[in-house]
Order: sequence, then structure tokens, then C-alpha cells
Amino acid sequence: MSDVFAQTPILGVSDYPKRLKACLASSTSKYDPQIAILTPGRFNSAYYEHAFLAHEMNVPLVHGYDLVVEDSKVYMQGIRGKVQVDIIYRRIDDPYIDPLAFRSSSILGVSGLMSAYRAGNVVIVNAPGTGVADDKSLYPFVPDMIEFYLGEKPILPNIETYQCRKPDELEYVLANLDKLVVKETQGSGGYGMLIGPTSTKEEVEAYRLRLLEKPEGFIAQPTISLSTNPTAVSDGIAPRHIDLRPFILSHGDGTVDIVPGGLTRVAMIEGSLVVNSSQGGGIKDTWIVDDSHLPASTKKTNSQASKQSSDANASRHAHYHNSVQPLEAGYENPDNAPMILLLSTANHLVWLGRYSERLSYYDSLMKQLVKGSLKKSQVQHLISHLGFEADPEQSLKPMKTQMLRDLEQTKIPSVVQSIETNVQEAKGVIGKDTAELYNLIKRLSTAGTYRAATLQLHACNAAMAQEHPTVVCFWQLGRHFEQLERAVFLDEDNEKTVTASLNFKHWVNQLPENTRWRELIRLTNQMIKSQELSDFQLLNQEFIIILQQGV
Amino acid sequence: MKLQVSHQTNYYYDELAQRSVQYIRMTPMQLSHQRIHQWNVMLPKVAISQKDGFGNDWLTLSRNEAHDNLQMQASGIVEINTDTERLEDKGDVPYLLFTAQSPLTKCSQAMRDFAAPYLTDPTHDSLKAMAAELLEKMPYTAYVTHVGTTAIESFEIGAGVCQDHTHVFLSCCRDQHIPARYVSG
Repeated sequence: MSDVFAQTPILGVSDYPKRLKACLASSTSKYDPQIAILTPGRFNSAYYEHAFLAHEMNVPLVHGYDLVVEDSKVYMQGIRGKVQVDIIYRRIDDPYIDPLAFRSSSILGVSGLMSAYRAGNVVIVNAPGTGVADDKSLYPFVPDMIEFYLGEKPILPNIETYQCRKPDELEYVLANLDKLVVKETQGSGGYGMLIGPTSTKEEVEAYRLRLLEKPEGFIAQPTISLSTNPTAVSDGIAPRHIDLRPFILSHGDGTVDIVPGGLTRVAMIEGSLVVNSSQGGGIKDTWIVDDSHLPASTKKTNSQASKQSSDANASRHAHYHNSVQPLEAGYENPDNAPMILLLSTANHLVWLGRYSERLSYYDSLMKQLVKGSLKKSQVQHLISHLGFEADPEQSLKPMKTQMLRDLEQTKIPSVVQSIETNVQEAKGVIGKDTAELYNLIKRLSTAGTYRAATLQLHACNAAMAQEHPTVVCFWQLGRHFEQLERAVFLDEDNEKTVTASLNFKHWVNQLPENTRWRELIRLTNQMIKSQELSDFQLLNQEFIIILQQGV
Repeated sequence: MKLQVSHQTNYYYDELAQRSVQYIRMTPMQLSHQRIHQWNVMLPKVAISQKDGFGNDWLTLSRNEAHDNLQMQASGIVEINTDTERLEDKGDVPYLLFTAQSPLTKCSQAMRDFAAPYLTDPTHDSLKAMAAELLEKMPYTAYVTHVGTTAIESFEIGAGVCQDHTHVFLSCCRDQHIPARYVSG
């Protein structure tokens, strides 16, 4: 199969993100607009796609909580302050995008977004309300639309469709329920439909009741013998039902960019008619053969194919060391443009640093406990100051056993989980390879080999140190703050605390100048001078507040 | 009749809010029977003024300094022709929109039965009679319902406030495809 692919000239699709970005930018007349992708988050089944497109288009991936509306303009909360957003590529359904205008229980949206939208200060793609095109009630009117708007007859005819909102069509549908496919007009994902011929009597009757209660909510179509396509399956080639999803980009000036190829969805189970990905359907890339050079000599085809593969190699190499991050728009020279790092992501990077440090420390503690290099008084000190589930009144041996158990069964697994969570949330700004290394930590610790997990952490730390300077800065801030906090809690000697403070201060100095971040320097100096716990608390507070409220 | 209106609303929050965004609709509409001579909504900060899809004056107030209260005063002079019984439909919002039930106005069989005698052959008088009968059936009682109570719920309780009466009335009308619209003032 791969030989066929190598020999055949195809119309490329790898520039889709570039085409999408051009389409998004065309929706406003503003020069060099700031785009952001609004995602519902990593628990959404399409999250990978949101993150992928953000990375490929080099734009920030935002959650609702990263955006604020002020004076009917939309801003992203970044570590350097607020950055105005001009275009939002939103992947959240209409009812959830603005709790003040629509569903008030939504925590995914942005309060005030519709006000900014109606004021013309932000473009939302796709616009609220465009979902009406997805309502299956519209489907029967498509041939009429084609004739009306294009003055043409459809090339592909419609499947016969009965609109249950019409009494006579409803009558027909009810009389033939066991022979038809009935779908909700406002459903999606293949849910809530009835495939008459393959349903039981009970299922058909239950559906009949639903139809009678709200006839306008359904359409019905005859079951057609859908075609199948030869499909590569685990044990060879087999027929499977497929459908094609094209990607069409409508530009702001009315031009339409039809991306060659598309997405083919496959019903993975033999005989199944359900292709929807949310119900376990599979997906396959689709390419269009480039026959614009026909009749082509074999030589030409070969050289074209080899050119394409060398192009692909070149771009792969370009990406190898170049971890691209979203940059602030509006800078003449992109080399001068600062990276856009969201406050929420910075927070996750800080906690990644903190938990990584904590894991290293717990590992060294375990080593010391096992080797027996700690005195009784030292163990008691650790228990009371760092809060382990162990009784400091006991003798040394049971105390150590309790501490070890607490570490192994509670503390370390919890920290590993926290590392995992923060890596997932910061995935957008951490390179793919670095993220892969972190995946191993979880796997190693699930297998119970914490030593290996901690060794893996060394590799992760080495990888992190090579990430974008701004990303590294916040991660290091977290690591050194954790060390500082530990030194303070353990009441360590002056020298240790001062060293930790200075290390922390070094990284604060890398933060943007002339912002509230600099307050941390003043507070760190104050703490170094006074050596008071209360001053550490102040520093801690300020750090938390800035990460929450922004600069 | 000329009215001078002054309406003060004060909100106090338990916790300090660092920032807030509000949509405020406290401006009466200019209609053929209702002339607004003067109107002002006083807020802690200048708000963005727009019109929403229904033609209401819509203010967006965004505050990004810490606050634990909100005080707003709506005031002005309005002249109303109290003899007006009908207004011509302006057509900028399709009237059929108001035959669609909202989540709060779903209709129950009990409500349908109650409304049947008045809505089989609806006239202005029969609708007024239904409204009067509704007040008998659901006497005005505060605190038995809340802002999220549905029409079905308040009808079953058999009591409520003007919001509940309106929801029930709307629900019965819409159920019979009589366009009915919620208006507040």
C-alpha cells in the first residue's frame, strides 16, 4: 500500500493549518490579527485536534478561563499582561460560550463574549447560530438552495427524506418505522437514531413514542444499501462502510477554498453502519490523486514523488530542533515578538517544577530511610515539619516503616499524578518529545518502580531545560520555590535558606520587567534580610495572587 | 400619563470579586404608546451600550478592580398612553418565535386542561378572563417559588409571584400556538 502512495502524485493536504489560518485571518480587515483557539479542554474527545491545530497554526490554545472581556473587548491573560484577541476559533457549542447570554451554568465560556462580538470587537468562527446548518431539518431543502443560489441542478442527488413535522409524512413514517432510519434533527454523533430493520420490536415502539411526542424533532430516510470500500483491517482487506467529510474554508471576501481530500470515517465493526468517531468509528486520511499532469511519463512521476518526499524530509528536519511557540501579533520582526504564555499555563509549569522537585526529594528520603542514614531526632523532625503519617512518639524502626509506607502508598503516587496532570495541561507549550518522556514516569510508577520513575525524572528535567526560555523560567521558578519552601518549613540553617532564596530570585529576575512580577524580588529580599517566617508567607501569598489575577 | 421613575438596586457580595461582567437591561423601550423623554442608568463605571436581538437597550458593565457591591440607579421620565390596548407588530423579530416554549415554560396536561375553555376560541376578552382566573387559582404568594421555578412547578404548587403567573400564561398560549411574549418593566 505504501508503494502505491510513494509512486502516485497527490494533492498535498499538509498545508491545511496554513489555509485555515489564512481563512480565519480573512474574517477581519484588521492587519495581522491575533487569533486564539478556544477549547473546552482535555476531556473533550477532539482535544488533540484543538491542540494540534494550535501548534500547527502557531496560535495560543485557550480555555474559557484564560479570556476576559473588558469594555467589550476580549483579552487573553498572559504572563506579560493582557493581549487583545481579534479572532476566536471556537470549538465550544453555542449554548456554552457565554454564561451571561446563554446557558448560565456553563463554566466553559467567557462572560461578556457576546457583547464583544456584537460590538464588532472580536470575530467568532464559526459564528454563533451557524449550527443551524447542521440541523437535519435543513437537509431536504438543499436541492432548492442549490437551484436558488447557484442556478444549477445538484450533481449529487439527496436521499429521499421525510420530515416528520409534516403530518402526512409523519403518518408514512409511523406506518413504516421498522423499515426506515430515523434521526433527531438536532442530534449529532450518531446518537439517538433508529435503524428500523435492525431494531427489536421494543426499540421500535419506544422510538414511536418519542416521535409522537415531538414529531418536528425527527427526520426519516429509507435504508439504502450503503456502499462499502475495501479497507485494511487487522487480518487483511475487508469491506467496510465509509463516508467522506470534506474541509471547506469560506473566506471573508466570499471566496471558497476547498481543501483537497478530507477525512474518511469508517464503521470499524463488520456490518456496522455507524461511522461517528464519538461512537468508536475509525478515521482514515484521504488524498486526491493529482492527475493535472496527465498523460505523465513514468520518469516525471518518479521525480515528482521523490521531490515530495525530500520536501517532507526537509520540513521534518526544520521542526526537529525548532520548537515553535505562539508569538504576539503586531511585531514587525517576528524574532522580536515575545512568546504568548498564558497565565494558566505558567501556573501549571510552576506546579510541574514544584512536584518534580518534591518527587526527587521523596526519592532521596526513601534512600536515606532504607540505608539507615538518618538519626531518630532527624526522622522526628521530618515527620513533624513535613507532615508524614507516622507517630513521632515511637521508636526509630516502626517510625521509619510508617514513613516509608506513607511515602510509597500515598505521597509518591499523589505527586506522580500531579506531575501527570500538570504535564497534560501544559502540553501545548512543552515539546512532543518532552511530553513523551513524562509519560514514562507515570508508567514506571504504576508498575511500582519508583526508583526508575525518579531516574526518568532526570531525563525529563534535562529535556525541559531545552524548552523555550519563557517556559523554562516558570518551571525553574517552581523547582526553586519548592526548595525554598522546604528549607523554610524544615527550619534549615541560614546558609541553606539564603542559597535557596537567591536561586529563586535569579529566576524571578528573568521575568518581564516593569510588571507586578518584580514585587517578588522585593519580597524575597525582605525575607532574606529578616529571616522571618511571616515574610516567607507574604512572598508565598503574592506569588499565588499574581498567578491567579495576572499582572 | 407622565411618570417620573427612580429605581435603585443595591447588590452586596459575600466575597470580594476581583473582576465582574454584567449584562444590564434597565432601560424601557421607545414604543408607539410609550415615549421616553429622559432616561439614565447610573453605574459605577461607564458601560458599553448596545441593542440586543429583541431591540432592548443592553448595557455591558465590566469592572476589573476589587469590589464587593454594585449599586445602580435607573431613572427618567416616561410618558405612557394608558388607553392603548394594542401595538402594531414591528416585524423586526418574527412573531412566530414567541410560539416556541422556553425551558421554563413547558406545558403540562393539567395546565392544558385549565386553559382549554379560554383558548379554544381565543379572544382578547377570553385571554383576560384566563389571566384573572389564573390569579384565583394561583394566589400571589412570595417566597414559595424562586427565579428558576418552571411554569409546571408553580402551577402545581398553586401559588407564585408575577413571574410565575406570566410563565404559566405564556406556556398555555404557546402550547396552542398563540404567540405570547414575556415583557418586564
